[in-house]
Amino acid sequence: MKGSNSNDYDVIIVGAGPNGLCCGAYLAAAGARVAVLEKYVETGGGLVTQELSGFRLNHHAVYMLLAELMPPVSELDLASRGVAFARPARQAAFLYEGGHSITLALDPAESQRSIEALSLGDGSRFRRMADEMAQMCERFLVPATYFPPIPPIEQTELLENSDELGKRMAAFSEMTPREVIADYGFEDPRVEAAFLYLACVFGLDPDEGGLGFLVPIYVHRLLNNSIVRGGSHQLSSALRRGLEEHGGDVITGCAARSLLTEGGRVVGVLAADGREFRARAVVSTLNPEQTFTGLAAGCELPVHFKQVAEQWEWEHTSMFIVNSGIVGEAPRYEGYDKSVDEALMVVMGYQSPEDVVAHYAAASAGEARADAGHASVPSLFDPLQSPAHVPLGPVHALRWETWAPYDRPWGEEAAGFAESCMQTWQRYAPNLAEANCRVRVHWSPHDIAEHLATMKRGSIKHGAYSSLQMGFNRPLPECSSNRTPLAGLYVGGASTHPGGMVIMGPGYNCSRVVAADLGIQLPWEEPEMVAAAKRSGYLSDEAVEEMP
Amino acid sequence: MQTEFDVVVVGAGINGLAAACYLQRAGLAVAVVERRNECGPFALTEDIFGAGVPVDTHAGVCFLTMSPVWADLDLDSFGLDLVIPEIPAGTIWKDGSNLLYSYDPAKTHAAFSRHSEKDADTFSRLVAAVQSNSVEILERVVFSQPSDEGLDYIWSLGELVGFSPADFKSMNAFEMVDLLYENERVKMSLLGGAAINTFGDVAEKGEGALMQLLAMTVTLGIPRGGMHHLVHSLVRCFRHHGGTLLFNAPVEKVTFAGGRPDGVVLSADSPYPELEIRARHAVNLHVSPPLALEMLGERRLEQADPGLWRRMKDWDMTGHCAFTSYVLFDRVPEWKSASWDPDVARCAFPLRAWDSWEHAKLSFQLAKNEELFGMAADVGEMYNLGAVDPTRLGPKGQSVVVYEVEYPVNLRRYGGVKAWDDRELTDRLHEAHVEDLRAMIAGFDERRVADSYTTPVDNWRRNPSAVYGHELGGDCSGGQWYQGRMPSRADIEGLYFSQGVWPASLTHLGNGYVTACAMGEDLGVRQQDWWTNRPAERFFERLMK
Repeated sequence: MKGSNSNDYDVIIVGAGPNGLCCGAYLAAAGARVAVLEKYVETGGGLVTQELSGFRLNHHAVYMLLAELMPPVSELDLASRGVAFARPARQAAFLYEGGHSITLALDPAESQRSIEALSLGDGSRFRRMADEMAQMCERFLVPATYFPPIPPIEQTELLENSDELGKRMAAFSEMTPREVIADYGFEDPRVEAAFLYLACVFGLDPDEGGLGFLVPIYVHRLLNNSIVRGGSHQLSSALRRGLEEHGGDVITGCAARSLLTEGGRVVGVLAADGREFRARAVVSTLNPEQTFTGLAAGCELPVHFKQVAEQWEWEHTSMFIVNSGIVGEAPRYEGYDKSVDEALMVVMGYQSPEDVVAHYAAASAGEARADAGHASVPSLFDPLQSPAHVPLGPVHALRWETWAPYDRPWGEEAAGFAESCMQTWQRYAPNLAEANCRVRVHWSPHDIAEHLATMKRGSIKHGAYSSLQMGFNRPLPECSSNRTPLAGLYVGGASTHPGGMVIMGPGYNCSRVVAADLGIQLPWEEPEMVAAAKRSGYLSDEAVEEMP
Repeated sequence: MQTEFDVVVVGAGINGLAAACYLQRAGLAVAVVERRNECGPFALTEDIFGAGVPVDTHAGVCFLTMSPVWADLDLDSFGLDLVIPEIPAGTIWKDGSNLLYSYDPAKTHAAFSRHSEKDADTFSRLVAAVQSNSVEILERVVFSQPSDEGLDYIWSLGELVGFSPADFKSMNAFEMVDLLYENERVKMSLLGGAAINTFGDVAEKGEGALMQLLAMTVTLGIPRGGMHHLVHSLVRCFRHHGGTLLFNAPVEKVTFAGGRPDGVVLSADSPYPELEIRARHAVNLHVSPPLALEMLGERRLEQADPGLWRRMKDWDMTGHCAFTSYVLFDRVPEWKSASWDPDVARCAFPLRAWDSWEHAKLSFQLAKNEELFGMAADVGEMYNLGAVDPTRLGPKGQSVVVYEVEYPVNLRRYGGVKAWDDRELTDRLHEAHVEDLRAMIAGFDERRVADSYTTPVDNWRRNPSAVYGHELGGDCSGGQWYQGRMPSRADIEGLYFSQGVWPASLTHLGNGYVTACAMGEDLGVRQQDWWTNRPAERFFERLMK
């Protein structure tokens, strides 16, 4: 095909998801000759937006937790390549029995008033939590996303020897998500349920120890949440454009089969169709099983790398997502405060932390429940996501999302389950029953695994978040800083520090390491937030440890 | 970010992209701005059943084989792989008979002979006369600007089929086949082939005769893997030559300087809010005339060019629009008419025709009266692409038959355009299509896995330019036919159109080609050794192989 004259590159990246494209875009912009190989015809991985009858269906990722905080957005000038975020003023609403609700907004004062209307004393508790979590995110958690992982003991030492906030974060690291939320002492179980849901909605086990430090990032950033204008896919399109404008190649429909090695060094990739691509460095953004027992099957690696297929823990729950396009009014939550109608995420079905824990536990144990979850109407905040040009009544793109287990006979059950989900939503928003549904597509955990091949068992983050698989340990201590024991092979997907959720940390960090090893000068300074975290003593270059 | 170009094309439909590819390849700097997040809103391949079966949900066959664009842009090298089916088309009747067209003239003659020896001889003679002039006919009639000389040439073509220019010009397609053929099946099949042609209305004088004649020049191919690969090849070609393509970029308005368009401004809703994109030399609006008028500003256009303003203001988009049914089978379905001629199993694009010649004539009146159920499924286009392209099959061998019928869009007697959102009415219409397929396909109910449909309004929703779901940038008949279509080149310097122009929009990319020629001439880049005017050339090369 025209466009690629030679199969010799500086860097080959396997997988054109957000991390692969991000890593490639940085290296291409710095002058490296880059190819990204993608198994599917379309690129973007979880950033998938399908347009059906003019409705944009974001089948997987839709919420951009770090949005404009992600360094690639500014450094790679994604705005001029078409990335803009819509950030609704009202971020999340929680509906309870008896017409009670709370609405959380960008403005913490508004959130506080809403909570006070339900439970007077919890308003100030919320403010304390919100302020503290904002500080933790801004000063440590977000900067640490774009910095190599520090071994757990050294990281705890750094935090404990810093300031009060650091000590508090160190303490959180020992706790479960449930304990972190409980620590703020909310009186009303409904309020506590709300924050526990935000903390755990994207697959954090409420009772998993050693992960409490992740709670602030989910809670704070889900209250500063954005969607991508035009649909999630636009973000990957912009990364790809940047990469291609700098001479990088994106080769689609090209599955990588194995690594090419010479004298114990990785020198390229053999594709399933027999094509050979040669490079000085190969980055895998696949999951550990695919990388170490698939691509690197024939390579010399320490034995525990090969055991990763048996040992790697996939997430305990996956997601079931129903996207639809309707002709009809946006949902009106009857009997609830009007502000609920304007929220980005509307959470239904949880009265207490126990309800949240029970739903998560049910999904982990293989039980599918459609009676709780959360909903969004992206077209309320981004007119491009529904075909409003046809003057035959209002149109909206709807999305329902709930925890669901992988181990179900989804082939038989998915359509009925999707219908039950929509009925749950209708119970809260009866006007949806009158809507004329033009398109509906559901993605069960099986569909996730099928359409996004790195997400085995529907594992949206390429593997569970547990203390043994996070930070310095993700995916293994020897390669969480992107280099592997195999010269020339790097890892940079969601199974690498800092993880999944379209934050591009793995791709960003990996681009730095590869550039350093290849002697490529990256024209960007360290982000100011990282420098500030170092000045505060939370991060330290000396503490970054390379495994032998 | 680059915001200044030689040419800005608004709309990444396949014809807009084709025009952009020509100009970019000819050395101009071109930007294409598109409202949607992908290109080719009617050249779609979608896995609508979630079963891993790629379904071409709108355009189903590719007429690029007729066109100079295929070779000029060398789309093969950008990933377009056209399957040339041995039995491209045919007609299937519910009584179990069929009539198949082959690229082998002897085979076609034999198929006609089963219905009438005399008609077989007539058809062979006429096809040979027309096809030996195909390249010239296509070049002068289809892939060039309408003109007075062109019109004279069109009427002179009657002589190829035995009619004087005066007779040909005053004849519709019914009269023509009635005069030429004796067998009703033959007449219905030929009329069906002409009716799905989009060069006019078969029931109108002159237009109908030309459509009947042009049907004999039509060739087709099937993009391997799905129609959307055509779009991908155009995008790759455009980018390879250095073109710039912006998605999610709805245009708010065209800006003017010194009386000529000098760029566009994007909508405040876009990810590039109110971005101004400059066009040093030209703006091509590849959107339908109603949208183009909005972007240009009614008042400005009324002052600058009252004739064009009037034409665009009165532009009719309410004609026939596609209602498409899709049926997923557990394998490539078997036609009952295989017992008549087993080759039907290898036919990519069979038509379902009327049950009688009398009803065929009546159904055009029913359509004009918007009597939906009187004409339901009278003539349908069926795409059975799994029969010729194994990549269309699902992982378990599943295959889809697409059944498309053109209906009037207004439906006043059913409550107006919004009736297309009435599930009860559209389910009934879909059921009529299903009934038809059931009568033609063996073991229909045992083999059917799922079915689905899209209405004209669904089409409008997915393609903002296709007002009422219109596929052709507006009706192509009467006052909107040939010289009555939109001009490629407006009287306003630097303003061009490639929708609603002649020839009517199809996957032959003639709209984009004709406008690219006009722009290329005006901007002094038309002379390129690769820019031929040789329609169908690559197709004949392929056929010889």
